[in-house]
Parts: sequence; C-alpha cells; structure tokens
Amino acid sequence: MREATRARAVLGVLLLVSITLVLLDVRGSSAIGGLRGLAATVIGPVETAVGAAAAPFVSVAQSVTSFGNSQERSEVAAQELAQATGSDQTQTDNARAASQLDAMLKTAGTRGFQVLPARVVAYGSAQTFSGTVTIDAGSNDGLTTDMSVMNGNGLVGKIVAVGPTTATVQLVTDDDSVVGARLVKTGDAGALQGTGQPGESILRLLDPTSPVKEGDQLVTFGSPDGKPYVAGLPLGTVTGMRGEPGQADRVAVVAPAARMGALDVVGVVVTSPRGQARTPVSPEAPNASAPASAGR
Amino acid sequence: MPRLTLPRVLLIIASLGTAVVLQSAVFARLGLPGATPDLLLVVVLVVALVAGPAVGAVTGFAGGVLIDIAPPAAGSIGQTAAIYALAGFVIGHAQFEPGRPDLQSVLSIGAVAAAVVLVQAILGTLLGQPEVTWSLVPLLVATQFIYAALLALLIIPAIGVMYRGAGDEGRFA
Repeated sequence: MREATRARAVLGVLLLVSITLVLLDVRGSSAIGGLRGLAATVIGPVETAVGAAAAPFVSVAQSVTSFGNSQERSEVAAQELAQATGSDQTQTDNARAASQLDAMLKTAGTRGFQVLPARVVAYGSAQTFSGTVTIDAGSNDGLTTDMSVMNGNGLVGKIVAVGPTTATVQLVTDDDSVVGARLVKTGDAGALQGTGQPGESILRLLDPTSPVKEGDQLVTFGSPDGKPYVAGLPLGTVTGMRGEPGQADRVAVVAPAARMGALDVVGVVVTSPRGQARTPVSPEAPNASAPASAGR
Repeated sequence: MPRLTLPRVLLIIASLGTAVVLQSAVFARLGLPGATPDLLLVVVLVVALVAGPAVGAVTGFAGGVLIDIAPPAAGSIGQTAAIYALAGFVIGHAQFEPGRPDLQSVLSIGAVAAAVVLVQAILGTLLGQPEVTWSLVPLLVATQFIYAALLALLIIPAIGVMYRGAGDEGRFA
C-alpha cells in the first residue's frame, strides 16, 4: 500500500532528524541555543500569563496534593482549602504570596543579600526526572545565569538559562544539581547531589567517617563571588543514612529545606556580601605578653 | 484519510502550542501523584488517530521538539521528538471515527502514553541522561495511563470535531 510506505518514509526521516538534533545538542551547537532562546522569548511570556491566571487554582490543588506530607502541613493546607473554597480564591492566594515574600525577604535580609523577587510560573514534567522551573523575571530584570535562587526556607536552586522576561531555574533536587554543603553542627563539608525526586537528595561528605545524625542541618558552602551558590543559606535536614559507617560509600539522605513541589514566591540573589571586596582587619592580641604577630 | 488542508495544519499547530503551555504552567504545578498528565502527548495521539500515521508522526515530532525547547526544559533535545513521532506513527494505524471517544481509542491512548513513559525511562537509563529513579517508574507508568485516558475523553471530541470542521470531509466520509 502506497499510503503505508509513505508514512514509514516520513517516520524514518523524522527519526534521522531527531538523532541529528541529539548530536547537535551534545556538541553544544549555537543553532540549538538560538532555538531555545527563541522559545523562551515567545513561549515564556505566555507561560507567565497563563501561570499567573491559574495561580489561585494551582495553590488550592497544591494544598490538597501536599496532604499527608506531614501533620503540620496538612493542617495548614486544610485551613487554606477551607478559606479558598469559601469564596475568594484570589484573595487567599495573594495573602499566601505576601507571607512567602515576607519570609523570603527576612531570610535574605539577615544574610545581607540583595534579592529580586519573582514567582514560579511553570514546572517541568515529573516523568522527565529533572527538576527545573520557570520564573517570571529574566534578562530585562538584570538576571544572568549562575545566580542563586532562594525562598523563605532556604536555597531553591540556580539560574541555568535566561530569556528576556523569564528564566529557568535548576532546582537543588534536579538530577544534574550538585551543591557544596556544610553541616551546621560540625562544619564538615560535602556535596549535596539531587536525585530527581523532590524530597530526597544525597549528601556525600568529604570525610566519610565524620559523624552525621538524623536531624542534622545543612547550609550552603558557598562559591567564589556567590555564584552559582551563595554561602550560609539553609539547604536541608538529614533524614537518614545509607551504607556502612566509616565506608567510603556512606551517604546521608537529605530533605531539602525548600518544598520543591509547592514553590511560588522566590528571590534571585543579585549581590551577596561574599561578592563584595573585603578589608583586612588587625585584631588586638588577646594579652599583652603574647607576641603580636599578624603574619602567616 | 481526510486531506490535510491549511485550516487543519493551523489547528494542529494551535493545539500543540496550547498543550505545551497548559502542561508546564498548570498541570505540572498541580503536584498530582505520580506522573504529570501529558496533555501534549494526548493531543498528538488524537491527531494521529484522526489524520493517520504520517501526519501523526510529524505532529509527534513537532510536539516533542516544542516541549524540549520551551522553558523550563533544560535537558537534551531530540529524544522526546523521536519517541512522540514513533507514538504518533503507531497509533495512527488504528481505525477511528473522529469525534467519538469510544472505549478502544481511550484505552489505546492511555496505553501508548504509559508506554511512552516507560520508553523514556529506558532511553534515559541507556543514555545516562536524565538519571532515572527506577523505583518511581511503575507509579509514573500507572498514573500516566489513567491521566492520559481521562484527558482523551475530553480531547478526542474537541479535536475530532474541530478537525472535521476545519476540512471538507471526515476520514470515512
């Protein structure tokens, strides 16, 4: 049948083009980059508009679907749901966004970060196993790649792509994400690796024999100039251990501080104190008899 | 097989664009258990059912490229296009009365959508990108079957009727 032959030929050509696209992408072709830029310019603003219009309903749905995550959250969700289904969903959504903004600014303020507030307007699909979201601010607002993104609870991720009015954020839980981490209690350093699962990241300490317990808190280690990650932001809590104590494959399972399933108001860290010039200090010697050596 | 008229091409393009935006700006944010309802794939499969394997494959390819380049996608490009093109080609061989969501087409759309999740996981594991958490795959496959079948109940009448209205004849006319 000629129809069937034609369809097979079409499929063959399309598969060849797909493989070409994969190869071009692997080689980092500028044509693919241009295509992504075009898509961000055209589709980004539409996502922002649709995402904003759907926000009240999305927040209700998130409240319902986050049921059972923990008792406390469920109670909050139940309250939100009761308010929202009452009459005015938009008003509840605005109130929730305002309290998230307050919490984010407080977290940023205590650390001296200058932040640009933004809202999450789109998520990637769960079945792609990657954790990326779109925010409604972009290069027009001065954003560039490798800026930290945070909310009131802690680090959310970093910017990996910018369009004129939108930016793509790679979440801490993305399978490609690795964040330098420090245990608050002991100061031990390690790397927090995303798994693609929203509530479960893996911490590998530089020294696998160092003591880690359930409930230990993590903060970001920080990068030079605060890019891509600023220092001292809450990163997560250890929820369990895997592997034998003292073995090199011993890792800690970490629940990220920010709830990745229900992101709304976030802040992009534009400048951090770590990025500013420092001045040397000459501290007083603890007592007069000690040699006042300030050298190395 | 209905002829591919210009209004029908425009209808397909508009449906794909709408599906991509709704999927990432609404469906993916709902935090539903398991997979994100793949509205885009359901649109591709319904078009393929109405318009046959060749148009189905091209629509799948276009949709796959679109979802891979539209924000917030940051992964590889081309994999989704190949899988969706194949899915459109396969389901395009089924016999279908446009505009009527019969049990057979609803279930086959659910089945193909579930198979696509599985193929994506296998391909991801083979290529090492993205890193696939296999303990989640059964839940993703099962939920995608349900979501896609439910979406098909709505999308089949919507696109079937519009597709027939946009041309001058139905597939069996």
